[in-house]
Amino acid sequence: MRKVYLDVSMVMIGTSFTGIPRVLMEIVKRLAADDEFELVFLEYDQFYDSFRILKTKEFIDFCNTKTDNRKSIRSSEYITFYKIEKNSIFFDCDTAWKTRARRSFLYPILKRRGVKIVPLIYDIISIDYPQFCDHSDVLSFTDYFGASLLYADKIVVTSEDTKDAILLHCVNMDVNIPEIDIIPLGGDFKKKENAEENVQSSIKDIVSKGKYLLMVGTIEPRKNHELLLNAYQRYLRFKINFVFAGFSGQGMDSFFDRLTADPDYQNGIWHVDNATDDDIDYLYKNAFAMVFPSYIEGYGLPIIEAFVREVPVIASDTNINREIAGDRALFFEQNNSVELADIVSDLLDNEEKYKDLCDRVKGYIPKTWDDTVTELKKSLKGVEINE
Amino acid sequence: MLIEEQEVKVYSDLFDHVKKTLEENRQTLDCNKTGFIYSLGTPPKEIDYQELKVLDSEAFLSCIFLKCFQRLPSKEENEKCSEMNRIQLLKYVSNKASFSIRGIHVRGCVYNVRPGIRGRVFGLAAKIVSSAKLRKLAKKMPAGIQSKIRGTFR
Repeated sequence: MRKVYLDVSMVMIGTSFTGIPRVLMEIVKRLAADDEFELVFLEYDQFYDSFRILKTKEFIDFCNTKTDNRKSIRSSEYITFYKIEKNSIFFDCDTAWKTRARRSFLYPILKRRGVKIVPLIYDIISIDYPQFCDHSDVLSFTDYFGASLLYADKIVVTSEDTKDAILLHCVNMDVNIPEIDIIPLGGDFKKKENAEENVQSSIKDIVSKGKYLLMVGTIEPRKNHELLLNAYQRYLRFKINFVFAGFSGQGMDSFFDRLTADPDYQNGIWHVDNATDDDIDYLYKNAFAMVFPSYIEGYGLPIIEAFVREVPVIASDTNINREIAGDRALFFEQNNSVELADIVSDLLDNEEKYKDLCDRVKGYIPKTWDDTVTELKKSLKGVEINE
Repeated sequence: MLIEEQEVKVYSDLFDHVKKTLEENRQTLDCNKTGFIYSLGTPPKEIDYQELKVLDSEAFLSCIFLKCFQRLPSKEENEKCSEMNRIQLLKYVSNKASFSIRGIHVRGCVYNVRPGIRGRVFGLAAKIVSSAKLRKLAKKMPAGIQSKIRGTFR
């Protein structure tokens, strides 16, 4: 059995299990079932300045239950950075750039010991689009990304777009190109029966008010909610309603000022920030279309979520959106509210065109987590063993 | 510097790329590049003061915050620290809750750089910071209180 070490320090102190923690947990649940790997879960312990070894079964159970009580997961065993074995795999799939053991420190130690380093790089938005990120986080990510380029034996990414971005940096910096495997993310896209019973009445009320465009995701600058608000206020008011479903992020004060000051706020244009999974499902299923105007995405899961529910998608014309949506979506020039408004107006006025767009998303079969982990196992098994 | 010379170029190029991209988007990266480079490879709990003596004051400020807290100083911290000499700055950061919580040790410095009373009291809060239950509770507090809590433990 090949030993695979995973530093899960950030998941162990986390309170929210969407995004990267969610991916890690889904991977762990399935990797653990493979007899070829012995998984060892680690958490940095600052008292001993070492990794604490977590109890394997208890951590896997935690990936299912997501309990707040994590004491029982922590064993009394430790391993120093200098004792991780040669030819074992250090599979770094948590938010590694936020942990105490920065990778510019840890990776050289592991490399000298002959440990195989395999980071899962979800995206390099912090490097190529730092204007949308906290600057301290950008520097932490730069530390991690630089270390990955210098020391990784293999890099796993989730899209062609991320691979291309990494390769471009390697070429520009004249750095050896590492082995990069693309493993797209899956999801649990089971259709829920009777979910409508659990939908909040406020959500049903919004849906009852007429056709609407839906945007799902945290309200933050890189998602470009401003563009939709511009499109609504300048061109689409009285033609169609808008629903923004997502938590409020940082740096969006001026957006919310404009939104709440709009005379149609809560009666034509809504922000829903407390939607449950059933509410989101209901909003998707009843939407005229899902709009996705992001400047940049790591993956673009809302596009897949819309396709699974056979909801048409109108997305900004970026490489990652094209990669995920293919020819199933309509695209508009990034940051062009006029073009977006024209597309929407055209769909509203032309039933044939709208039907054609709806037909494009019928029969979509998404990747599952099982598919993702099958490819990941193949990738990890391909990591060389040195004599 | 705690990384090999030939590896500095990779981090340096990435830093330059990030800085240039921010400037193209009318933002400024308030971090000295040499300070960033000298922060690389820092162990989680130890800082070697001797290594930092070659840095000018601007680089030293960036570096010490990145080394100790893995973040840049805030605007207020920048203003406070800009007039301090290095030892004053070291004592300032050592009295922060996060310095104590992280259990950082400064070696190679003739002055005694250790957490003061405030720092040690908050050092006891190390276990609290890592409690998922209490973090969840803190996230339910009003935004102003959350901000204060975050500021205390940064």
